[in-house]
Amino acid sequence: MALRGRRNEFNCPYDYVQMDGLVVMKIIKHCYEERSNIDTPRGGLLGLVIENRLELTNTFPFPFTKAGEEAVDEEYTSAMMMHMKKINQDYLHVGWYQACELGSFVTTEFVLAQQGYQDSIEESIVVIYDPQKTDKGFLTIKAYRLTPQALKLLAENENTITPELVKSLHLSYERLFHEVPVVIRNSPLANALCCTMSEMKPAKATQFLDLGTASVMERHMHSLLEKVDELHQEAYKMNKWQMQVSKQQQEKAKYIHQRNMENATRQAKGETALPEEDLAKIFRPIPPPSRLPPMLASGQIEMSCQQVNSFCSQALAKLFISESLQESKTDA
Amino acid sequence: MVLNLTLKVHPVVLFQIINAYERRNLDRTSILGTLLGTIDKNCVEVSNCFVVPHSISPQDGTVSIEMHIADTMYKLNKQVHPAEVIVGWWATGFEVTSIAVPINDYYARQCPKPVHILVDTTCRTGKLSIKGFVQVDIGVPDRSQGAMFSPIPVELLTYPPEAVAVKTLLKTRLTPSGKTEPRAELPQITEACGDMEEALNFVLNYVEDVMADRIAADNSIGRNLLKLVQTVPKMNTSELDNMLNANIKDLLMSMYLAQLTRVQVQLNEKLLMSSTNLNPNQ
Repeated sequence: MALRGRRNEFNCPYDYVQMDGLVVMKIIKHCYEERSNIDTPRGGLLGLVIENRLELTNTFPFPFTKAGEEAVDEEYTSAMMMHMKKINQDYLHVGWYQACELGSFVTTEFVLAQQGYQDSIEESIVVIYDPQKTDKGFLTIKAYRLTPQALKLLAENENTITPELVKSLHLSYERLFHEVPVVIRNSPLANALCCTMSEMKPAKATQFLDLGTASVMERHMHSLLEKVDELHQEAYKMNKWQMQVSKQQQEKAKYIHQRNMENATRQAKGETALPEEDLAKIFRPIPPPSRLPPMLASGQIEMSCQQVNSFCSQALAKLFISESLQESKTDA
Repeated sequence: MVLNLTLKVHPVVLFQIINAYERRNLDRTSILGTLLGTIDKNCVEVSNCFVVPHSISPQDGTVSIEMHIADTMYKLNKQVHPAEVIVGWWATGFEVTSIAVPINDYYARQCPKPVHILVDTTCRTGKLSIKGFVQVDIGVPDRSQGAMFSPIPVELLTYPPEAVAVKTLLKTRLTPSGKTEPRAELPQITEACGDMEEALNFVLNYVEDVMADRIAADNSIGRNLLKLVQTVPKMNTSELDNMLNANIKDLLMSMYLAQLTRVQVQLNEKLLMSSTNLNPNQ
């Protein structure tokens, strides 16, 4: 199914994602209507890989499942795809979308879900939609894929994600995801619709030029604080483990020393030496804490910081604009 | 009565109709489907739709729709949006045709008063028109009776994020390839600045024309201009300086802290990766 032609360094069979206007509108509508729900709204993406792009032509929302059930309702998905086939829509499931507040989506379940998708469907992609930022006036839709190194890492068992493994894969938290550029496209008929809609548009437009920045900054800082706390805890766990291991080493060395001394005294007395004991059984090696949570936390912090930066830059720009307006007013 | 009914349509519905029309089977000239939404007193809000394949038999012109496809889709949709119910049906074309009456009867069994949206995808009037109708009975009682589709006003209703998306989508009209990208925040502000400057230039030219008596003055426009100038709040320079400085300081502080956090996290990672005595057991 996937084009084996071009592959770039991220093992991605396409260069950019082309979304239809319909896909954007459906995602926004679904996420807006379910915004009061605790579970994040999710849905599937349908489309096709053509030449060097992934075209997304339709979406469908996933129903919320009760706790304890599978994350995605298989029956619903297959029924929906069969239906799409009957009405001449693309029915290839090429990915999924999720809404997330302020770009905080780097969680374990998210990466595992994307890994599942990329394992079964090679060209799958995840689209992240930020309802808060869009509410403030900036349409934020991004598309991501896991890098091949991240896939290799996640394929391992939870317990074996050791620092050595991470080092050998040359993986750092910055290289977990690979962002694919998004382009929105409308067919000529849809453009005609847009012309009609621009005349029908309701008078109230969204104010994204307002200067109120405190509430958004607060939320950003909150989420940043949470993540930094998490990272701190993980670092603490790592330190504790290192101390435990070094203590264990010391005890082991002492034990060996004692046994050697005893063996020496016994040999001096002419008795047989004590049997060799398996040191590994007495001093069970303590497993290191998994590197995955701190890496995810670091990745999330990195994204939040970038968002804070871009938000501050546009807030500063707005402040300078208002300053110039005021100057002209006081001069006049 | 039906005259008070207003129809509010979300942009999603229109996009879906266009999409379904583009993907229709080649032997069809027009397609139809179901409208889903909510009914609230005199206002019908249409928030979703799906296409229903139909066929017209050539002999006697009777129309049949694939009811099981419609049922399946309605049930699937109910799982995700339990509040949406069938409120009417839509079709593409220039005018209401004779098949509309039996279709309307079918939908009248699903909901009390189905509304009908007609989207002119052939653009016969030069633009894509969207009209709304409701079927009313006409005629003389006890004599010849018939049905007519009387037009009702159609409005566009958007959720706030939908309005933002529509603004971005409108840009695709202006590019030759029909594509646009969701822009980062700062370029959007610069774009908006440019737009404002253009609008201000236009207004200035108009005012100069009026002052030079080239165009007749219009009082309502004058009042609007006065309102516009007065919306800039009056602040003396010291107050303004205080406010600006305080805000700028906050923002710069946040940027600094964010950068510091990033650098620290990177340092943490590097230190961890390069420390040699990670796992003495191995």
